[in-house]
Amino acid sequence: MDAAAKLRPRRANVLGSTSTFSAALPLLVLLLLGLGFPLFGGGYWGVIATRACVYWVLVSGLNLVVGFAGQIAIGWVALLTLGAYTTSVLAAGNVTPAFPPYLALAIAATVGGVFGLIIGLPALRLRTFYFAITTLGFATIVTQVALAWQSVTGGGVGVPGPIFPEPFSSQWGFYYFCFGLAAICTWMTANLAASRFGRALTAIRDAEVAAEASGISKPALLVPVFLFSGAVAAAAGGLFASLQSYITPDAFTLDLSVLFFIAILIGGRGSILGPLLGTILLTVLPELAAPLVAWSTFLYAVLLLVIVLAIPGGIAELLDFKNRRPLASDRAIIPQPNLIKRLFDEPREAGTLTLEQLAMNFGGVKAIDDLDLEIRRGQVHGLIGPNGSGKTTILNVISGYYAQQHGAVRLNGTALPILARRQRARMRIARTFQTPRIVGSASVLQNVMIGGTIDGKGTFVESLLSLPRHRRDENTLHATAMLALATVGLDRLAQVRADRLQHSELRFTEIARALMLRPAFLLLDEPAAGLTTEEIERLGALLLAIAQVGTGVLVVEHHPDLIFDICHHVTVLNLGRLLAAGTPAEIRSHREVVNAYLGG
Amino acid sequence: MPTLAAESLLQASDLSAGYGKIRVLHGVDLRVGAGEIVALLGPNGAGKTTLLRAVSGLLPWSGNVRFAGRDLTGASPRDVIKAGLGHVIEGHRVFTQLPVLDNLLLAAYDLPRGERIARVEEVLELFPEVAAKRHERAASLSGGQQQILAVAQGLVRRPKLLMLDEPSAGLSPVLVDRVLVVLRQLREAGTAVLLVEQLIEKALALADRVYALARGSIVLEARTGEADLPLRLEDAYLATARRTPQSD
Repeated sequence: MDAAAKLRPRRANVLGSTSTFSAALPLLVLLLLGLGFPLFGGGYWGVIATRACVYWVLVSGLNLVVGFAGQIAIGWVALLTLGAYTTSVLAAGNVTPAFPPYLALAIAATVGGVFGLIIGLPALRLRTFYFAITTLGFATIVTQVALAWQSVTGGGVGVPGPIFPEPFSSQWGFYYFCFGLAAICTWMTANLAASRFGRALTAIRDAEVAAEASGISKPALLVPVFLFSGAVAAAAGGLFASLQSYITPDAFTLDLSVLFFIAILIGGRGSILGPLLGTILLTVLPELAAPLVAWSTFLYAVLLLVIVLAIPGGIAELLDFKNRRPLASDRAIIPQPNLIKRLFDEPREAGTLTLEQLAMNFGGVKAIDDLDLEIRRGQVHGLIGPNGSGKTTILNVISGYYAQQHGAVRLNGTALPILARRQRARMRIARTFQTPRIVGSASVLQNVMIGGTIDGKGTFVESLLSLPRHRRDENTLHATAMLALATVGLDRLAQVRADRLQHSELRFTEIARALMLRPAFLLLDEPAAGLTTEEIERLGALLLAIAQVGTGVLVVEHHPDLIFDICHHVTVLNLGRLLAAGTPAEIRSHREVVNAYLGG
Repeated sequence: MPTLAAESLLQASDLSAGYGKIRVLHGVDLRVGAGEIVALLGPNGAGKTTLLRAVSGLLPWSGNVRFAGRDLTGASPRDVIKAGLGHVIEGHRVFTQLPVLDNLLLAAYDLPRGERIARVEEVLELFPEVAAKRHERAASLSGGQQQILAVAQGLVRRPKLLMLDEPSAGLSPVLVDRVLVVLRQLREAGTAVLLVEQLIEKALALADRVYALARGSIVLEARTGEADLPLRLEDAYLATARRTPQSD
């Protein structure tokens, strides 16, 4: 197999994904259908189509919050309301001088961005339902303010919506205006979804611990997402007001908010096309069943239940034909340790990671007790000991998940800040987990690319607009990830959904993801658990090769063969204390180690 | 009852199962006699976990499975465990937010209260390191201790047949040995064991009989006493590796 040919970076397309045309095809078909829509439909259906476009402008942004970042934002109608009133009031000029409608819309989007951030901020502290409740609270507040602030909003009487000038004043003119905005939103969110930011969002959703270990900062990521999502939601509000031609607080019911949320759920998390189809479906459905309008909430509920039960992955899963093909059942993981040199192509210096009189308690129980340890770059260091002797705890202290009560972890002599786990990635300390932490719905390749998130240079906005720096980032990340996958022997599975892999393959995927950081130190938590004897041998050769290019490797393991085969140095723990340390030969014959750990 | 004694405790014939349209098992025949320890070996991806999950009703399957004289067609996981077939799934999945003791009590939730507590205490005696943390949440156990807890959960019900999916994963060598000793005691008490394991030598030392599974089919069935077994097992494993194109 010609590895070089396979590793050549492919040009990222508009969607930035690897399978170029087929991913964009459904969206292009929708684009053509949308452009040609006035040829088929007319009159009332034109209004419905326009409404679908307006809703999608909002849902496209909300999709990043809900579908990608996994934040349960139910009350997003608050931003629609805010945008509708801001645009209408500014354009009507009953409070301020009248603004041109486009300017009013732009101002509304700006205000929406700010409020999107305010509504979203609790997500940094609150989880799941608690955050959902705060967004609902905002929805109620905005409606109450609209009712009460009569001098501006007209209270229960309402205000007229803005009218956009020629050529967008006619029905079809306005349709094309909304359709254009919807298309731009689709393009931007698809760009973002396929960027390192989109992948990082899914990592926060499904594998937050691994995201932190890869250096991904949740606040830094969510702030621009909330800004963007709030801005497009408020812009959708301005369009909505114009479409309705007159708005009152009654127009912004919680049902509408639920519709947006359900459109994403039935569309499928982590997809653009799915929620887009979901939005169209939920906009059109009530019209087809006009006599049942009183039942609309009930119909949503039934639809949601059916989808959750029949296709939990939503419409996106239904359309994911690629991942229904069976995988070869006799596939084997064949790492290519010789490729590791190409991954670590820069000259690397020596260095040490030391633990100094480290102590850590869990509520009075000493998990680590006065421990000294030195890991050198270029060597494999084994950490063994009975279950519960503190091995994983040490890994968690080094990588910043636990705070030690005493002592320090030093990188080349400098003490590492306590609990700053994201900084570990910048210091090139990478790790894997006892139970693999993987984004199941993303491809293996995307999972590995998550590991290189911090090495991207482009900004959030550059990714939205698919500017050159974003495309360069993507090409580099893609090439590096393919190289890392080839190194661990999984390149053939690059495009497969990660939740279809076997346990042993997930372990190697995690190693590939860690290699994306080109780590100075690599910490592995039981990498051989669940592997066959053959796989363990290959893992050993791979870890040795990683050490040979100047990485310090710390392995927590229970397979004595692996430890004694590849380690330069072995430390044995018992009850959080050092039981023995030395070369594999010394440890193998150490009497206490044999008694407490190896067994006779 | 001589007629019943002739029948195996677990008898699967022509068992096929998979995930959606993707078939993993292709017509497997496997039996486990009462009080027998059977090892199920094979490379990763061969279908070992799928087989266990199918038998315990966690996956839809076709074919014929009988357990303790009863046809398991259409049986739910609940029916299966009530019939006396326990299953310790892989990857130490315990209820991390519950105390250790509650984890064990839950594993026997439908037994009378007094009996349930007695059995939990009995199991805790086998694993002092878990017993010492009985009132702590399972999340505070180390990964290996959680694995022990999962095995302990499987023991609480005293099943007729206990299926274990890689119980040694994440355990220190001494602890692996202790789990194996416990399994041997189980056999002496009359419980049958179906063991999926990657530590081949230890599994063979314990088991009475062995099956090797590759690409969803049984490729070897033997008694562990047979002299040429290691060689034949290696062949069974290598049959998979050889078919894989080697990278250059």
